[in-house]
Amino acid sequence: MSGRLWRLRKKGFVIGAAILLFWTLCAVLGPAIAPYSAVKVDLDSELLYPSLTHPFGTDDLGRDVLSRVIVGARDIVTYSLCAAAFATFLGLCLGLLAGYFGRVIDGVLSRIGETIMSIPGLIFALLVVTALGHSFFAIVFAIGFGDAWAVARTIKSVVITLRYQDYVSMAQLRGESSLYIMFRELLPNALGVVLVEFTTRIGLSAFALASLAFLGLGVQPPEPAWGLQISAQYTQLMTGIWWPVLFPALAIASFVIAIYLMVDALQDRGVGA
Amino acid sequence: MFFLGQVLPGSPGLAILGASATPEAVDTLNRSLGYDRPVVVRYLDWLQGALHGDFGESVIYGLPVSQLLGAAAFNSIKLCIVALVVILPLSLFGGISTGVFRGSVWDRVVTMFAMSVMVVPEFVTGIVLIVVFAIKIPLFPVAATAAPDAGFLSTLYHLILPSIALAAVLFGYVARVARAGTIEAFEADYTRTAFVKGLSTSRVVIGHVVPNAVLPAVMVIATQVGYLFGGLVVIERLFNYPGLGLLIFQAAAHKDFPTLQASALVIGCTYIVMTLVADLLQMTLNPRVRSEVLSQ
Amino acid sequence: MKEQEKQREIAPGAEERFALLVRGLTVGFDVQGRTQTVLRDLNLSIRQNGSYGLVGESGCGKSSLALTIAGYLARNARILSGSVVAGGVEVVGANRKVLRRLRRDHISMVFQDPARSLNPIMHIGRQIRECFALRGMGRQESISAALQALEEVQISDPERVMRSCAYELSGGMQQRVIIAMALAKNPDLLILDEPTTALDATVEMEVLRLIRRLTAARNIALLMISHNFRIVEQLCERVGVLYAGSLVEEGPTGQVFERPGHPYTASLLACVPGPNIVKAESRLFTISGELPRLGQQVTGCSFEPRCPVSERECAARFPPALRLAQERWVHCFFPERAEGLGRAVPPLPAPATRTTSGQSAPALKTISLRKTFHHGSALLTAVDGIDLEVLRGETLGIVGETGSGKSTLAKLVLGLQRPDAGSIIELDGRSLAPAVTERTKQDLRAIGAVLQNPDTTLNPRHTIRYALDRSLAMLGTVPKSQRKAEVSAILSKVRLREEILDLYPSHLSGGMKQRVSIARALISHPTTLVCDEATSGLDVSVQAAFLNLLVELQSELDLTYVFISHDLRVVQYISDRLLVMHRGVAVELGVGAQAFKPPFHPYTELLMDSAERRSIESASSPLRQTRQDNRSSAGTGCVFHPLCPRKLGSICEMQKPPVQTLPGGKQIRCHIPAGELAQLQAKVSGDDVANSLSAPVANE
Repeated sequence: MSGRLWRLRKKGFVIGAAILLFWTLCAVLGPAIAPYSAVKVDLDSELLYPSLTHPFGTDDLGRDVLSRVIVGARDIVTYSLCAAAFATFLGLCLGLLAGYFGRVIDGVLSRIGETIMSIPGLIFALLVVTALGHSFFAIVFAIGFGDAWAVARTIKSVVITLRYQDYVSMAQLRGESSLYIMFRELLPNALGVVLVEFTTRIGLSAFALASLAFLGLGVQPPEPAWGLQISAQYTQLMTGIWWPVLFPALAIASFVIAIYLMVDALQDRGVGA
Repeated sequence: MFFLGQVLPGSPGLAILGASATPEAVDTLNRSLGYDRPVVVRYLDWLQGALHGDFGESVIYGLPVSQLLGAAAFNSIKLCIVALVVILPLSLFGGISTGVFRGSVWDRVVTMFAMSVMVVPEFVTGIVLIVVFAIKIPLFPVAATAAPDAGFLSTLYHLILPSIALAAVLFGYVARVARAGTIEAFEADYTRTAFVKGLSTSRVVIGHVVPNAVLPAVMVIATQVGYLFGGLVVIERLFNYPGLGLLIFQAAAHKDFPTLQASALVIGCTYIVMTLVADLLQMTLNPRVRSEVLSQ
Repeated sequence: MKEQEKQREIAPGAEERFALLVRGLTVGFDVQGRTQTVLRDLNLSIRQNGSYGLVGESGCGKSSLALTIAGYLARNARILSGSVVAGGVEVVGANRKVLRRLRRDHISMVFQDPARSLNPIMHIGRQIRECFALRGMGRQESISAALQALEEVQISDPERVMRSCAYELSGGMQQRVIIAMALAKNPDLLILDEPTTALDATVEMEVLRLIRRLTAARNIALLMISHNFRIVEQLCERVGVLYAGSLVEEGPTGQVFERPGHPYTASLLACVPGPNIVKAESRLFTISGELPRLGQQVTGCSFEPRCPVSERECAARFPPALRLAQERWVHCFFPERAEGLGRAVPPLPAPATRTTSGQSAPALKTISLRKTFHHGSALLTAVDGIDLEVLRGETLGIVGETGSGKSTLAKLVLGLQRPDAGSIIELDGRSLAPAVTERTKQDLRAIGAVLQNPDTTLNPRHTIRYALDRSLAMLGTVPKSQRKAEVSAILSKVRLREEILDLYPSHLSGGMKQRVSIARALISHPTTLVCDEATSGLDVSVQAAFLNLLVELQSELDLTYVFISHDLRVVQYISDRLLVMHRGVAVELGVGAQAFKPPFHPYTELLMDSAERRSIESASSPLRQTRQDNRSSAGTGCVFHPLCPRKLGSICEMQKPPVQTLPGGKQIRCHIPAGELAQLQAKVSGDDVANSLSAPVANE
């Protein structure tokens, strides 16, 4: 499969990967490459229009918007990666269980999943954060847990088609354990789907994370998270001050779109189709 | 049938337990350490009340939750209906036409656009819409709420921007599914049969491809409508529109658990109803499913 | 521009006599930037109301030809050169309008899978009416025309079918509907691409008979594409043999099949198990090697690498057409050598035939083996109380059509499905646990399996080495240090080279994959091997070698086989006992050579007939179009009564037939006395072919 991945020379994939790499660099290097401090208040230069010294302008507390956008990448990258990894891993286990065993286990897991998914992800996250607070783990759990059930459903549908392949029967006939069959026979054949799911979930997590931050219920100030910047500044939109809001908004858009460009290229290549 | 029998009776109750057991647990933990019985008792009490339409009293507003919910839900429904009416025909058309003219410039532009609006959070779309269509080109009002005495058209006019922002995600989903469905139907054996019969391309598309392509799209619409509610929280906050989303947001911000629970219940129920509608729709549109259901 | 178009449509008078004229056609597919040729310099012609059969194995390009003629090639396909004139219209380079007119007025096509060829959500009536609407008919007119068309394809309740959707009809009915649609325009040429491959043998026969009758009555030319030359033999005047994209031989059907001029044709005909070939007497003739991969570049004769009589010059250039007789030619330098192939090359004598008399103990035994599935509130008995015994070293062949329960039976024996309580399975005298998870290591070792689909029986993500090594680790008895040697040993036993060990299954051909499956099954030194449709995914030229291998291994290792197949010829070749199943019931159990001689159960008789296709001429066979509806209505009587051509009357509907045991051990479950069956069937098994199924039904 790695051979197939290497041949992903599609334009979409390259663009997506480049954008993602850029934001990952920002996340790692952050303050080191930002021209100004992302958090230092400078009331002398508040709400400056974009210019050469401040390409993205400054916000109402005089902080450089460009620097805040660069440093803000860290939150979205780490949170959405962790939430996606959590969702994919949990969903993978649940999906394998439900798909391989079927019947009662599938029934119970599906009912729980349907119940959880009957509440939109964002509202579910909102409820969890309200209850558990704004810690890193609470936010990752709030976003990833709901997603996990959606991942589980996808994995399950794949596992069900694989489960009746003859090689599974052959494994049973030589006395393999269920655990072996799930992880050594089924999982390798579902890896493409897992990869696509993981990538998709990074995008969806970023989506949810930004929305939570926008509502002021996710990452807390003074972190320069993109959603949070928008949340703090968007009331000034009406007075025509658009730059402290638009640039973080575009950053969010570019991040999620980059991820989906990659997902699309993966699926076009038949990975996890 | 399956859904009617299995999910409807159990699920709303479970939905509440799943969503709100933790807040309640936290609550009780604060008051009486390690005392777990009250959770169940309170839950049952609450459930009993809920069944009679009594959701308790809001902590922040001091009003019965049911009263708050009613007004908010009405506003949200208005918004959702406008959103669906605006977006659905557009997205079906976009999806099918791009599927038919696969690989064309139109296909590339619409597909790229659909993907962008699908993945970008609603508030980002909303902000871009406000900046462009309310501030730079003042076509639409920034506020979503019309004056209380405004007429139907004025109300509608105010709702256009938020509804587009709300349903843009849905546009992306539906257009993608409709496009994929169209392409799949185009490559199906029965389409080959139709072509080989000697039918013209337009008759094959209208008679054979589109009906088969719309089917999965309708399913997506029905199941995704439930997710519009997730967007409601963000959009109503952005446009400061007094609907269910704003209510939930404020309840969450102030830890107003009775209101939160009740709203979650309403949303969960709506989702289940929509899933049911989706099943019914599929039944009417797909003869195979219809007969399987009826024979059970 | 207009002039050119006109010229194209009105081809010179000489071509008018032909329904189809293909000249020098070369077609390629663009795959990853490279063009792979699938058809090479093809020439063929079909006279008006002539019939032409195109025979070839998978990947020979026969379907691409069908789609080229209809102007419906895939996006990445390119016609590199040549011309195709159908219905007086040049297809190559024609614009959409011309093609559409061609498809509307002149040619019709029927494809392999009827279930997918009908629009799943549109009523059958509308789909048929569309064809008539194209000819300018109004609503009422098209409805009556559609009804009439359905009646012509022998659908007895056309009104109901018109209101149905595709899924409500059985496969045979669906194919009838498609044929009705294809004939609606009264085409000049009807192209049939494997039209019966997805159907059961008995249904296949009826559909073929229908095609023959309708095309003859209406003067429609026929292009029949098939991998099965028995079908072509019945239906076509002329035949062409396609191998790896080249037409290697063409001529009148009888001549080609009786005296093949090309080594490939001769070999192919020789390697199919014939009606009287059994393993005890001879091996099957085989073609060495495997089919070439799609798009493989060949300069010389494409069959040269596998040809037993080739010379150096064959590899250098493609042999030009050599005329053998009038309208009969072959692309081969040495056509005289083909004649002896298959017959002159003496089949290997089988090792001394073993006695299968009562002295050896049964290796496998089942007592009232039963499996009931619950579908909601409905019960479906897939396997209905089967008692059977297989002796050590014997092969039990099981035949039956779709839904007969033969695969379920295999799963029960293997423990992949749990039989109903009360069922007993014994292996080598030990009682087996019902589910595979409850069986002991010893039991797992004792029973091996080769399953149907070569593509899925090996995990695509594991190398061959891993697959074999893992089986050895789980079930083998050798220490870890000797595993490698053991794997090599087993590989040579199934005639595979060690180079394949580090490959993934996708790099192997179907035949090689099935050999690996056997190797894997043998690794635990089982006493019994269950082969569930193990040959059905293979091409005939590969199948023969596979069957020979099975037979050799059986005598070498004293293996007991349970061999399940829908192909009666294959089963006949390899079996010592024959179990015929219909809807979960064992309708007949035969022993030895007696199994394939009358008297038969009427169902077995029907299967034998379809295998020989000797009754295609018969016009008065019962209509089998109500199959699906009768599924649940067999009621208390014989399971075969709804379809039985020899049905006696209400006794068959009401009473379970008794098991009649004949001297010699054959068991038949039928109300008709075995003696009477023998009499009836002796009459038709002679030369009186035409009446095989219209024979008078015995009356009480």
